[in-house]
Amino acid sequence: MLCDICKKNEATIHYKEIVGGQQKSLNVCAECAQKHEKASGMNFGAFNLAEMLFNLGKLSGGPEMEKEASLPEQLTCPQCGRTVKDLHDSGGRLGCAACYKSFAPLLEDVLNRVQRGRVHVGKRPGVKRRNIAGNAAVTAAKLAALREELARLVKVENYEKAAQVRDAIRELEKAAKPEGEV
Amino acid sequence: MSISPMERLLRNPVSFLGESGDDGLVAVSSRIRLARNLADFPFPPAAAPEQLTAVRDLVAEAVQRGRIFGAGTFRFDVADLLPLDQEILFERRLVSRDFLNNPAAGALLARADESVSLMVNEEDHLRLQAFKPGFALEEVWQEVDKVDSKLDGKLCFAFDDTLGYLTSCPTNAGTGMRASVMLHLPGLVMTGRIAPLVQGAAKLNLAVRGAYGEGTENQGDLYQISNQATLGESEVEIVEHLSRVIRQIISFELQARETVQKKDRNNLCDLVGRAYGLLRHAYTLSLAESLQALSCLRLGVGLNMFQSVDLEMVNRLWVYTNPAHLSKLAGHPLSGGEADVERARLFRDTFAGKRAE
Ligand SMILES: [Zn+2]
Ligand SMILES: [Zn+2]
Repeated sequence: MLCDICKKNEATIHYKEIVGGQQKSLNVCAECAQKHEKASGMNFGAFNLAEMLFNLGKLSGGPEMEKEASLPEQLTCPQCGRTVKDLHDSGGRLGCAACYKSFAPLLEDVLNRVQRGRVHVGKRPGVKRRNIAGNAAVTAAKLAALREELARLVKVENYEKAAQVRDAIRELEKAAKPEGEV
Repeated sequence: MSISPMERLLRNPVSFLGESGDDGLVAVSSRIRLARNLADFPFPPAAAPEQLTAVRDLVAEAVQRGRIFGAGTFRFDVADLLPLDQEILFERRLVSRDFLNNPAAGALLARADESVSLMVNEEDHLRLQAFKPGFALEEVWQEVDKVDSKLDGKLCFAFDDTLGYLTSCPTNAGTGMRASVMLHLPGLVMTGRIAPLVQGAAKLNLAVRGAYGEGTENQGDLYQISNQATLGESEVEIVEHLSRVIRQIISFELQARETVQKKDRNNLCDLVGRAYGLLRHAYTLSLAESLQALSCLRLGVGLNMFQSVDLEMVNRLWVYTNPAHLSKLAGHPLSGGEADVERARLFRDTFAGKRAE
């Protein structure tokens, strides 16, 4: 990938942000990053994946960092013992399925920035599937999130996607009901 | 006499370089990778060695019992492989660098023809990939989907109703799918249109990477285009979306070649002819040099300049002139300088019709 600034060197630093609901990305080479850094006070060089993903590390300035960096540094996954520091040291790698719940506040941001939507609409496992958090309260929370997404999609008239989310809701509702009561 | 799995692998034609259809002039190969994890174990970055071993054994058994890859399935355990053999797997695009760097309980399982393969204990417990030559994303999806469903019948994958398949890196969550097509784009390079292409692709949430040397300048005009988002779109949508863009890039590339040809056909033919001369007659060739010349040669095939050189030959040379494959051919590990000599010899022999197997 070529540098967005000089369009000459290979971009080695990739930067993404959401502006007005639209994802913007900037890919720059080390040279331009350094120049730009000096000019704008932005700190590209200090980014690593974990920092980009989770806003971790001691970053100052830059559009990503405007909001309070009130990081729940003390978060630890009860399932696998992963800490915020582990995430940082591994370039943002989670330790287990339960980490998605344990680090949910951090993930919120990542998923918004990197992904196209907030709800999986693709393939699902078959018989052997085991929901990592299959209790009623969690299912209810998920249904609420899905319905919210559905409403949003209908509002922006994305009916195709809305139909998929609607199917996901139906499937989840069906799964939540006891046998025979359809 | 029985041969070792590595010898058997080396006798295979490389899976992604076969007959590639009309789009083969521009599209070299299509690949889809799916990331999956077992629900009952921590992901590899957080797993203890004995957990990784357990995962490896469970997956290997599921593959064997489910006859997932059929007869002649390959199994390579990274820790048991010589460095040269590890490099062979890398050059054949069966494994990633990260996978080789963390050999603990890492294993590669592959179908006998290498077209579908599975890295166990890379960043995720399972990294399943399928390959086809040319531009064939839909077919690749059907293939990998089938194998994934079979595995799903044997293993319990970490899955969440809202977030989909759970992966070690949240940038893969959802479908866990990365679809990519390798494109040969000398026309766009010559007409200075790679930068706009890269920018355009980024706007569409697609990634463009040079195929050789991460972070360094691209060599051989090979670019890999892939999806970035994995959550919020279904697999089929990702494939359709990416395919639309690829189809457009292919037509841009062909237009660019047309433009260059119209402007100065002699100059273009000269470029190709000189590249052929270099490869046909040199006695020492660096990898960078040969990649550049091969790119020109491939372009020449598209311009119908050759009778004795075809796409298949160029594609083969792309893989077999990499350092580890050259070492295998020579029968012993080669230093950089020795590899350059062997590389030049392989090109000379190939073009003289004495193609070494
Ligand atoms: Zn630059
Ligand atoms: Zn965890």
